[in-house]
This record gives sequence, C-alpha cells and structure tokens, in this order.
Amino acid sequence: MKIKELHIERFGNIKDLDLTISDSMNFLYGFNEADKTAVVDFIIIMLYGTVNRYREDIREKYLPDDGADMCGSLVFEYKDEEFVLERIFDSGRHKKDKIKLINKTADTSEELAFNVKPGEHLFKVNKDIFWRNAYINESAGLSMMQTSHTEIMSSMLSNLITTASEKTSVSDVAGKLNKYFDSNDESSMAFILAEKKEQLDNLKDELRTASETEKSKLKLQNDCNKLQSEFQAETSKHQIIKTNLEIQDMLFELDSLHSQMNNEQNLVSTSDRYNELNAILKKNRINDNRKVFHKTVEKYNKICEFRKQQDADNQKIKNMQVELGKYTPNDNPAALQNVIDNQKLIEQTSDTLSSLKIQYKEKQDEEAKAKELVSQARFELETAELDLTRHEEISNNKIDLAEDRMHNSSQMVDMEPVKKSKNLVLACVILIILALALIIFITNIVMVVIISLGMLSCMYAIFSKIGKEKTVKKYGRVNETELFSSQIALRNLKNQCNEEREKYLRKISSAKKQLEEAKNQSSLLKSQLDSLSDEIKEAEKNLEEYMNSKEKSEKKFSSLDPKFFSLRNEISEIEQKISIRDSQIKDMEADVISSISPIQDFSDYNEAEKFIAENIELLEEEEKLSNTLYIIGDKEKRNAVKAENQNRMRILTEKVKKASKDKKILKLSQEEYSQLKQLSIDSFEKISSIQDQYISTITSMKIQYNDSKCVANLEKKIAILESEIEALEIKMRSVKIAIDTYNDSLYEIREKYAPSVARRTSEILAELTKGKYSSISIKGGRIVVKDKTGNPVNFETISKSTCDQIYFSLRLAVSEITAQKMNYPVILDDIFIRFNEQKAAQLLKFLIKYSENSQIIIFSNQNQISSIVSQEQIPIENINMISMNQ
Amino acid sequence: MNNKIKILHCSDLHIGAELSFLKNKSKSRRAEVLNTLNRITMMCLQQGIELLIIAGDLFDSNHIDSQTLTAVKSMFAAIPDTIVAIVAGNHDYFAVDSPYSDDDWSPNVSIFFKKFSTIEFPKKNLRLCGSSFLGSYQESSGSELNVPDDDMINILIYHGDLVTNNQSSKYNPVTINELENSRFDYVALGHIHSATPLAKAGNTTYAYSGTPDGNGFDETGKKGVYTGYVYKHRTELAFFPTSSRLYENVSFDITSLTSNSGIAKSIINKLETLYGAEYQDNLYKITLTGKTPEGFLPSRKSITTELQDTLYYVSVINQSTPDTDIKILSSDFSLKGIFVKKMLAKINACENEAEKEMHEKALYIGLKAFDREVSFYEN
Repeated sequence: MKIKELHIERFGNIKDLDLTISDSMNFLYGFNEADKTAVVDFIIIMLYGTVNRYREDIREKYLPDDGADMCGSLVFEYKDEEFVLERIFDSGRHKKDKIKLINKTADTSEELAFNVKPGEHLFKVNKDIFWRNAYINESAGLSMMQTSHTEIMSSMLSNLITTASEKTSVSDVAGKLNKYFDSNDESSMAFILAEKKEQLDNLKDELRTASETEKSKLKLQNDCNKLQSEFQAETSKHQIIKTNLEIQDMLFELDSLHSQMNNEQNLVSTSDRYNELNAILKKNRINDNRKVFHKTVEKYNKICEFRKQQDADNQKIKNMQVELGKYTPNDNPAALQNVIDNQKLIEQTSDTLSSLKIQYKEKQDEEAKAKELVSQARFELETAELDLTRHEEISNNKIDLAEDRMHNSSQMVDMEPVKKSKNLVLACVILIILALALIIFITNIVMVVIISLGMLSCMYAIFSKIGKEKTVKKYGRVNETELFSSQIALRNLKNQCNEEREKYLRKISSAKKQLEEAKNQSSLLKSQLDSLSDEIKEAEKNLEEYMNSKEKSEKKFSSLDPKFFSLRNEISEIEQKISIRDSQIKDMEADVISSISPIQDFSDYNEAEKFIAENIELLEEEEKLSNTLYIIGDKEKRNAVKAENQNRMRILTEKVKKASKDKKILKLSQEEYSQLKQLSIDSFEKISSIQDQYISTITSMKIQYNDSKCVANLEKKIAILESEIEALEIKMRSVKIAIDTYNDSLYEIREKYAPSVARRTSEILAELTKGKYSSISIKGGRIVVKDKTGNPVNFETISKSTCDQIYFSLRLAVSEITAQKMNYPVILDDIFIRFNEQKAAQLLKFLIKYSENSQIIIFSNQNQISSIVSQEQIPIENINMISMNQ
Repeated sequence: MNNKIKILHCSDLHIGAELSFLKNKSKSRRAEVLNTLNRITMMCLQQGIELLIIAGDLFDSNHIDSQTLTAVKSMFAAIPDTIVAIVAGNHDYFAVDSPYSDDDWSPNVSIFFKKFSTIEFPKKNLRLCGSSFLGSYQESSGSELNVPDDDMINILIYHGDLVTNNQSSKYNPVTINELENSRFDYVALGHIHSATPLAKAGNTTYAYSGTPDGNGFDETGKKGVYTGYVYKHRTELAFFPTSSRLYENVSFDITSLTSNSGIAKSIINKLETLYGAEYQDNLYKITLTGKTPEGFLPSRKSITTELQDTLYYVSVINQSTPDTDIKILSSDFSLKGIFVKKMLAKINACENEAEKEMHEKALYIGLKAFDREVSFYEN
C-alpha cells in the first residue's frame, strides 16, 4: 500500500491542503507541532475512523470551530490499483457520516456505511496492526527515560520481539489470565467460586439440619396426633360412662320419686334421715352455732371463688407460655436472658424517667409561681419603702411648716419688745450726751441752738417710741396664744407622723418577710429541680446503657418479635396478680379458721375445709328433708308435689329411654354405681393427663423448633447457588482454555516469530551502526545486545540515541515480519531529531536505500536533512522534499 | 338448590419471603406482596366472591412475624361472607408450630389440616376437598382423589406437581388421569408460580393460578388469579391480573451505541415501548448484548445508576462483546493474532453448542487479557 495524495478540505485548523506523496522517500517539513500531528491523524482517521489507539474518540478535536463538517480525501495504491477514499465526518451525528471508496483503476466506486472502517474493509487489517506496522514514532516509553531507562527499555523491546506490541508483555497477559485463578484476590473468580462453594456447603449443612429437625418435628407431631387420637377415644369413652352415670342417676331419681309417692313410707324414711342428720349436725356443734357456720361458709365460698380464678389464671399462663415459645429464639440463651433483663430495666427506667419528668414539670411550675411570688413581694416591699419615703417627705414638710409657724410665733413674742426697748435706750443715751454737750458749749450760742435741736429730736423719738411699745405688747399677747396652739399642732402632727411611719415600717417589715419566704421557697425549688435534673440525666444515661446492652445482645441471635415482650409482660402481670391473690387467700384461710373456732378448733385449713364442705352437704340435705317433711305434712302441697313428681318421672323415663337408645338398662347396685363413678373419675383424669401431655409436647415442640429453617426455602437457595456455581465453573473452564491456548501461542511465537524478529533487527542495527552492534536477542526474558566481536554489551552503558536506533530497528523488523503480504508505507515522525549528525546521516542513507522497495514518509518540524546531506554528500534527487512553509 | 358458586382461585403468595436480592427494596416489596392479598380480599368483597381458594404457600415459611400474621388474619376477617379455603403448601406445611394451628382465624376461614380431607357446605351445595402438605415433601396425598357422584358442586384444592403417569415427584404429585376420574368439577392447583390455561380432563376443569404477585426474576410477566363461576361439570373462569409490579428479564442489544447515558436512554425508551406508561414501576434484569464499538467499554455501574433514577429496581448484566473483526485479528502475525487463530480453530472444532459457547467465551477472555482487562463474575 502506498499513499499517493492527501487532500484535506477541513480538518481541525487545516483548510484546503493538498499534498502529493511519491512512492519512494518523502520528507515533509516546516510543520508546527499541531499541524504535523493533525496530518498524521488525518491518514489514520481516513482509513480507520476517529477512535484513536488509546480508545478515545478524537472527532471533537478535529471538527472545525465554525461548525463545518470535517472532510477530505486520500489517494492511495493498493495491490496495483489506485483508490480514492473520500470522507465527510458530520459535525452532528456519526450516522450521517459519508464514506466513498473509488477504485480508479477498475473505475468502480462504493458508498460504505458510516461505521465501516475502510482500512479493515479493503486491506483486511485492523487499525492496531496497520498503525503498528506503518507508523514508527519516538517511543513514548523512550521519551520518558532519563537516567534509569534500562528496565523500561529492556521490557519494551522484549515485548516488541515477543508480542509485536511494546505495551503487551507476555507476563502481562499471563498475569491477567492467571488473575482469574488468584484465590487471594477477593474479586477473582476463583475466590468468588470458593466463597460460593463454601456458602453452598453451609447451606447444604443447614438443609441437612433443617431436614433432620423437620423429621424429629414430624415425629413429635405424630406423637401429638397419637395423643389427640387417644384424647378423642378417651373422651368418647368418658362420654359413654357419663351417659351411663346420668342414666343411673335418673334411675335413682325415678326410684326416689317412686318411694316419695308412697307417703307413709316416705315420711318414716325422711324423718329418720332428718333425725340422723340433725344428730350429726348437733354432734358437729353446727346446730348450736348456725350463724357462725353460715358466716364461715360465706368466707369459705369466697376462697373457693378465688381459687377458681387462680386456676383460670394459671391455665392462661400455661397457654401464653406455649405462645411465648414460638417467639423465643434458642440460639443464645445467655444473650436472650440479657435482652430480657435489659428490657425489664428499660421499662422500669422508662417509667421512672417519665415520673421524674412529670415531677420536674410540676416543680418547674412551682418554681415559676415562687418566682412570681418573689417579684410580687419585691414589688410590695418597694411600694412600701416608697410610701414610707413619700410619707416621711410629706411629714417632714408638714412638721417643718408647723415648726416654722411656731418659730415665727415665738419670735413675734420674744424679739419685738427687745427691739423696741433698744431704740428707746439709744434715744435716752443720745439725749444725755446732748445735755452734757449743752453744758460744755453753753457759751456758744450756735452750738447751744444745734444741741438743743438735737435734744428736741431725741425727746420726740423717746416719746414716740414709748407710744409704739404699748401697741407691740398688745400684739405679743396675741402671738403667744398662736405659739401655744402651734406647739400643740406640731406635737400632734409629729405623733401622727410617727404613727403613720410605724404603719409603713410594719408594712415594709411584712413585705421583707414575705420576700424572704418567697426567696427561700424559690431556692428550695431550684435545688429540688437541680436534683431532679440530675436524676433525669442519670436515668437517661442508664436507659441508653440498657438499650445499648440490649441491642448488643440482640445481635447475637435472630431478632425478637415485639410480641415476645408483650407476652412476657402479660405473663408477669398475671403472675403478680396470682401472687397477690395467693396472699389474700392465706389471710382468708386464717380468717376462716378463726371464724370457725367457736364450733371447732383447727390448726390446718385443709381439715377445716373438709369439715366445712361435709357440713355444707349435710345442711343442704337437712334443708331438703325439712322441706319434704313440710310438704308431706301439707295435703295440698303434697298433691301438688305428687303431680310434679309424676311429671318428672315421665320426663325421666323418656330421657332414660332416649339415652339408653331403647336398650334395657339394669339398675346398678350402690357398689356398682360407685365403681362406675370411679371409672368416670379415672377416665376424666386420663383425659386431663393426655391433655397435659399434649400441651407439654406442643409447648416443647414450639419452643424447640421456633427458629428451624424452612427446607423448601433452603432448597431454593441451594438451587440458585448451584446454578451460579455451574456458570462460574463453565467460565473458569473457558479461562483454562484461554490460558492453554495462550501458552500454545506463546510457544509458537517464541519458536517462529522471536528468532526471525531478532535476526532482522540485528541486520538493520548492524547497518545503522556500521557494524558496531552485531546482534540483538532475548534470553530469559531480558534483551541481549552484542557488539561486532560477539560480546554482550552492558545494556546500561548504551546511549539514548543508540537505544533509539535499536528501537527503530526493532519496529522496522516487526513491521516487515508481521506485514506478510501487505507492503506498508513507513511513516516516521521527526526521526532525525534524536540522532547526532553522524547517526542521522547513517539513518538517512539507510532510509534512501530502504525506500527503493518501500514508501517512506517522514514528517518533521524542521528541515534537518539539508545540512546532513551537504556534509555527507548524500544524493537527494530521489527524496520528495515538501515544505509546508511555502 | 345452588347450582353455581362464585370463586377466586389464587396460590403461592409466599408472604414474608426475604427477597434479599432486592437489597434496599426488599422491605417495601414484602409490604406490597402483603397488600396484594389485601387487594384480593377487597375483590372478594366488591365482586361478591363466595369462595376464596388459596392453593398453598400463602406464607413463605412457618415462621411469620406476628404483625404480618395478624394483618393476614384481619384481611380474611374483613370478608365474613366469603369462605376462605386454605391448603398448606410445601413452604408453609401444616404442623403445630405453623400459623395454621392458631385458633384465632376468623370463622369464615377453613384450613385443611390433612393430606386429604373434605369439608361440606350444604347451604351452598358445595363440597370442598383439600390436600395439604404435612412436611416439606409429600410423595402422595395418600387418598384416592374422588368424591361421591351426587348433585353437589365438588372443588378440589391441591398443592402439588401435575405429572404424567410415569413421572414421580416429591411434591404431592397428581396425574391428569387421577383428575379425570375424580368427579371434581374444578381442581384449583397450586405450587407452580405461572398460571396455566384452564384445561379439561373428562368433566373436571383444572388450572394452576400461579402466584398473584411475582417474587423473583424467574417469575416474569403478569401474575394474577382465576375468578368466575364453577357449575356442576363446567366452569366459567377468567384470569385477572393482580401483580403490583412485574419482574422482567430484558435483553438489550447495544450495538452502535457509544455512551453509557445513550445506552440508559435507549433502554428507557425500549422499556416504555414494551411496558407502556407504567414501565417505571417494574423490576428489571437487563442483559446487554451485541457488539460494542471500538473505543467504548460500557460501564455496568454507570448504566445501572442512571437507570435507577427512573426505574423502581434494575440490575444490569453486560454480555456484550467488543466489535472486533476476529478474522482480521487472526491474520496478524503476533501473539494476539496467533492466539485468536488458535482459538478460532478450536471453536470450529467444537462438537456442540455448549462447547462452542465455552470456547467463544475463552476467546473473549483472552482478548480482554491482551487489552489488560479481566472480566470477573458480574452477577
């Protein structure tokens, strides 16, 4: 196959690019990295679609940004015919893709379906093989290698030699296949199979146990059935005896009625019996103490009634225990006991907790009330204090006012005359001084005149003052009265204020007392609330502990039905009732013994009971006889009774006839009757015993087989598991076949493929290295390179570029050998960039020579070969140089 | 004299079955099955059914939790005018520890406690015979299956396998010949979970009603009950669907699909087409088949997660294979090519289909190993 032309209309960023490729060597350079990759991808996408070798769909990567379709054509030659492959990759849906393959030589064309790979369609070669043989790139593994590359390189090269794929190693595939059998891997098929087989064994064991359990259960069931049959047989036997006894009783009654018909005889026998009974009752001291006996009988009857209730309750418990058995798991009795204990504690604690919470709530309410009282008391105290202050203010004002008034009055009384006297004295003194001055200056007329005028003024003042003093004295008398009354008013006011103050103080003190009390109450309640809160917390903690402990124990056996606890509770309630009643009965028994003591002393109630029962019968008979004697004595009544008896006799005769089914029945003697009665009692006891046995068998059965497994369900589970195991075993057989075939294939490839690959690789390598390295082979899974003398070379000393030479040699050798009849183009990606000039020149020479038989297409970013060509003088006329820069 | 009786025949409800394979849905599903019985009793009430026949395995085992048992008893007590006739099956065989030994079933419930017994209802001119299991296995009913040749309508309620004359079974086998000679007018069969069409043997009509509500992926399709009239020597019965949800196994070809969500969407579309508007309510086991395109490995987990958003319950199994041209692969001169070539040779040499299938599986297991994959057990 040779590529002739590439026409890229739209592909990623590339638009309208046409390249013509020659059949020999082509060197396409001047690409940027993205365009170079795009052109290489274009070739493979045209032939094999958009899924790349990493299984990623790269369609999106190359769809033009403007929403146009991706399209182009590829012209190539295959088996001497020229083909044009035209493809349109729809930007929307894969299914709209168009593929047209034109055979220009044969002048035919065909439209291929959207999902057809033209490469596979035409060459019968899949994409992996095509790409492996046509495209030699720098190895991804190699490019990653820095210092320690030996191991990767070695394994990659050995993979290429042994499996023709550098990423597939023999051990990888074998490892994957062997993983199915890895019993240590929890997800492996072998592990799952082993686990399922173990499950199956367990289920089969369970089934065996369940079947055995069922067998023993059915055996017990049969025993139950037998007991039931026995019960039915005995019941019917008892019924017959009972019927016979009834017949005999009827016959006795008939006899008695017959004898009653004979009055005289009846009278004698009745009165004899009556006397006899009377004598016995007298002897038993009943006749003299009838009232006492009747009272005792009442108590005795009550005891009987209580006992009946006890029996009924005991029976109820028995039945409930049978029911309880159904819900009782047997697998872990200790855990179950723990659950029961914990459940009891949980219930008790829950009750305590709820009662504590109620108390807490009540106390909270009380505390709220107490707080209200405190604030009320505080308010009252504040009001009282405020009132007091206000009162004191008012009082003080009033007193001040009164005092002022009184003070004014007293000043008016005390101060006015003194003031007046002082002015008079002053006037007199001045007058005297003036008189003396007159004497001194008597000779001076001017002075005499002046002094005389002064003296006259003073005299006027003195006389006018004396007149005024009389008026003041009058006023002073009035003020004294006022002062006196003010003093009294002030005293009264003070007293009144004091009294009122006392009142307010009393009020304050009472408010203080109330506040104190309320505060005390509040703090008491608070401490009670705290203690209750602690108790609640403690109870909650305990409850949680019990619940956890219960839950823990519950996990140890199959989960409990809620009915288990409800039944247990009910049983314990009834047991409690029984025990209370028991103690009541004991008290009543003591009461009966003391009550009957005037008749007879008993130390044991049983004796008393026997005595009472006997005497009750005697008294009943005595009463009957007394009635009979009464009737016999009364003619009218006698006749009525006679008629009644006749009627009764007729009924009885009919009944006997019916019960005996018209058979003749002999009347039994007293002894025979007693025997028959005994037989009835025995039969009844037997029935009771069978019944007890039946109940006990069923009870034990229900308890024993409570958690027995259902055989049918186990069988179903086993069938499912068996089919799963069968499917797994088939798959394991498939894996085994795959492994065997893989080993055969490996053997074949080692024998046929690996040696020829190694041989051809050695030839290419020798040519590329001018014979420096002569051979390459695989030994023990490791690659061995030998120099021209045939000595092995330490692989670690080989340079990176030599590694690339080895890699190239191997890829080319693999391509040649696996290509078989298909002549692939050799597409090389920037091959020279990794070599020094000398090695690159050697490679170029090799490729020019190689291109004589195979098409070589080299893609490169730069034109590295121009310098190599000029230095090494390599002819390039046969190289189709295409520059992308043009 | 009553010459017909209106009946409803159902069986194998398996109330209380674990259904652990449904994981988080098992509890709700158990409740639904119980509710199906409730719907059946409501049907009895609304349609005036005189006789409700439960032909065995009403319960999945003898150990039923008290709540469920109480619920069942209440359902029957709620239809006092309908005679409820129950035989015990191999799952809930009669024993003293079975729910049937309780004495608080309502008076309208008649339970057959023996391998073969008869109860007569003279007012309805009806004679009911029943054959109950008394253990997990029962080789025969232990009695000759026939009734007097009189005017009464005779119905037999029978839990067991219908076999041919030469066959044997440990599940209470009965032959068509026996039914033909039995003089029963209708034989209500239980044990097989799929309903069979009404068939006739002489004057006797017989049918399995199947379970009224499926309990697993081996019980696919619509489930229900038989209801209608039984006359002397003839019946007028019709199948009435009662299942709350359907169990369905669906095979889905994913060829040409290239994404997990695409597969999920296509599955939803297909289910809607197949099962109509209520398709979401069903329980599905979906097997992916076909060829997956190169570059795409379907993820069972993501498809399941996506489907779970829409469907009540779904389980996905991937049995698709990569779309690889094996012949092309076998022409490669490489370890993979030689492996394929050898496997193809082995496949061609297989003598039977089972062997061929096993070898084909081996081929794909090998190819997955080359692609560094291991396909473990998926179910």
